Amino acid sequence: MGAFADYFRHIRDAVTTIFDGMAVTASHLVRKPYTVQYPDRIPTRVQDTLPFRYRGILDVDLEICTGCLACDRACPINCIAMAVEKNAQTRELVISQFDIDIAKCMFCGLCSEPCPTGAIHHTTEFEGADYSLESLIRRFIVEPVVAYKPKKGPEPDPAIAQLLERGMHYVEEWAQPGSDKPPAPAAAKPSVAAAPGPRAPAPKPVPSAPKAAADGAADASPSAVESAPGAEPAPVPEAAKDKPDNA
Amino acid sequence: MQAWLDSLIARGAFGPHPSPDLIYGAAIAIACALVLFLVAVPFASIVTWVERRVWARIQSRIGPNRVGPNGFLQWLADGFKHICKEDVVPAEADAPLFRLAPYLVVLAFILPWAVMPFASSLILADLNIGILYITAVPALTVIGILMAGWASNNKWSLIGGIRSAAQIISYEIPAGLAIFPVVLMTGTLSMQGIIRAQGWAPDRWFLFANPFCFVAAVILFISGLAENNRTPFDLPEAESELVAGFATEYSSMRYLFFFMAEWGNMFIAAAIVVTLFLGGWQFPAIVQSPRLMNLLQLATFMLKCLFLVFVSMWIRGTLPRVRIDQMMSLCWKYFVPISFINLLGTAVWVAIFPDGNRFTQWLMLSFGVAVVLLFLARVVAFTRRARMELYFHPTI
Ligand code: SF4
Ligand code: SF4
Repeated sequence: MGAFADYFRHIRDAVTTIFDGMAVTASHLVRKPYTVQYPDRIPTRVQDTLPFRYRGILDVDLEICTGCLACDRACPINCIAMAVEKNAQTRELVISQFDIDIAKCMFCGLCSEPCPTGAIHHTTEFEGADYSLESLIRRFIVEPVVAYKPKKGPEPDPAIAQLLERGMHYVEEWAQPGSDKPPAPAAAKPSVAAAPGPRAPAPKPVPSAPKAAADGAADASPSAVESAPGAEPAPVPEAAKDKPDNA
Repeated sequence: MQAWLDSLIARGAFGPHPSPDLIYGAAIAIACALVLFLVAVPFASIVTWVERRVWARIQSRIGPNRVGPNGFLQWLADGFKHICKEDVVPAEADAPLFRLAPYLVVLAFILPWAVMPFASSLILADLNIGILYITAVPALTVIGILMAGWASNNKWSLIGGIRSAAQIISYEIPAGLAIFPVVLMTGTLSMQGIIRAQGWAPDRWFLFANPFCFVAAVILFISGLAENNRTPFDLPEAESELVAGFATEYSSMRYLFFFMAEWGNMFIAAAIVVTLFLGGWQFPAIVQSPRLMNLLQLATFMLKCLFLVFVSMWIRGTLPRVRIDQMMSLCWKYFVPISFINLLGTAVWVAIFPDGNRFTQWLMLSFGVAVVLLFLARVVAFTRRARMELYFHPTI
């Protein structure tokens, strides 16, 4: 009798489970596919949807490069090749070579961290495929250019000022690991009281006093730099440095 | 065409004393064969594209959509790709058999189209044993597949071929037994005769004639899947165990032949079910012109067949592959006894109600409608549960 009952139970189980299974797949038939048709049939380029801190292929704004060679020295695998000379008469720094070997680069970001003006920075570009290794070397210098010299006071040339502001924004972002937000220049008013806002969303009523002070300091210093662009290229790395000390 | 043939005969193209009748007959046969080939082969190829799109949607993907409008020409691209590849015959293979096998398989796929009842007067040969023919001829596939498995001189191929032979021969039995209830009720083996015995309205279909027929239809459909090596019975080609089964050593056009036959056989299995149980080409006589009527009937028949083909794709997207012992026990422990009971039941039924029973037909039809409604309710429930964005458009 048991075997008999089993026999019919098997039939019933088969019919009901297949019935439900078919219903599940039928419900999938009317769903919207997930497929992202990269690269050509997508509403927005993938590059435009990536976060600001995305470490893509490097780019250099030569207009604001000071020729300090900090990036060249920082790169652990020497993919940056730079040549900088001092012109004896005009006493200006002249950059005659600035090559980045994208084939070697591991996108670690160590070069963009020490840059005083944010001239060297990552873009969100990642499509670098090409037919030869040679073509992967990005040569930024066509003919030698005079290095940028930080001015006292605000930058007079609006185009360069804009570049500088963007560069400093990069620097600021890199100095604050974790603040992975889309660029919001309006929020960066140089006010110490407002500064902790973006760092600590919905703060607990009383955070420990030293930490709050550290937050304040870390946020305040880049803002201060921004208010006087180019006045002194050094403070940003220092802000990054003194934070671990305090926190 | 006759004039052209006459001129050829007059010019002595067929020898000095030709017999015109023989030549006309041969010409008609060749023309019909060409037409069928030109219908059957693209059909089997286009189905591959449809199938890939259907699976893709079941898996929330899009599927091939680059070649031609919405990827419609994908089948051409695949065909050209296969033709362009090298046709490799392994050194240790039995070369003549190895070369012959795909043609046998394709032959088994082309032959059934001869008795395919597309419409009331659109049938190549309304054999009086049509239904026997259409179940017998596809069994040629076994020879082709077994030959391919043997001639490849490869263990995977051989196991695949033998599995396939075992499977096809086993499932022929429930399939044959599932056909007999209809034969009992109509007393004919001709495809057209069986269709004429049904009506256009679902309550006159043999599917709903009595409970036994309903079960027989399900068994016939599932056996059709098994005979064509379709998932969940695609053990002969089980990738995870046998690479590609009997087709492992094949490449180029010969490989394509196997798969063309598989997809084409899907249509044939569907056509058998449609003919026997779903009213075939029956369509209400709303127009006078016989030509128009035939077209409408053709459309009806094709739609029904394509729906069943779609169901078999859908099953392929749903069910996992069964184990070989499960497949065999399904056949011998479940389908064969149930088919016999069906046969007996139908015999008794026909003895009691020689002209069918309207009440049972309506009851069965309402049962069918209830099943479909329940199914739709389940689909809606699953869709709700997923809380996904709905997208009904078949293309994207
Ligand atoms: S990202 Fe890293 S590897 Fe690439 S250039 Fe900069 S320092 Fe070198
Ligand atoms: S660190 Fe920045 S400013 Fe210095 S050389 Fe590199 S890009 Fe130029």
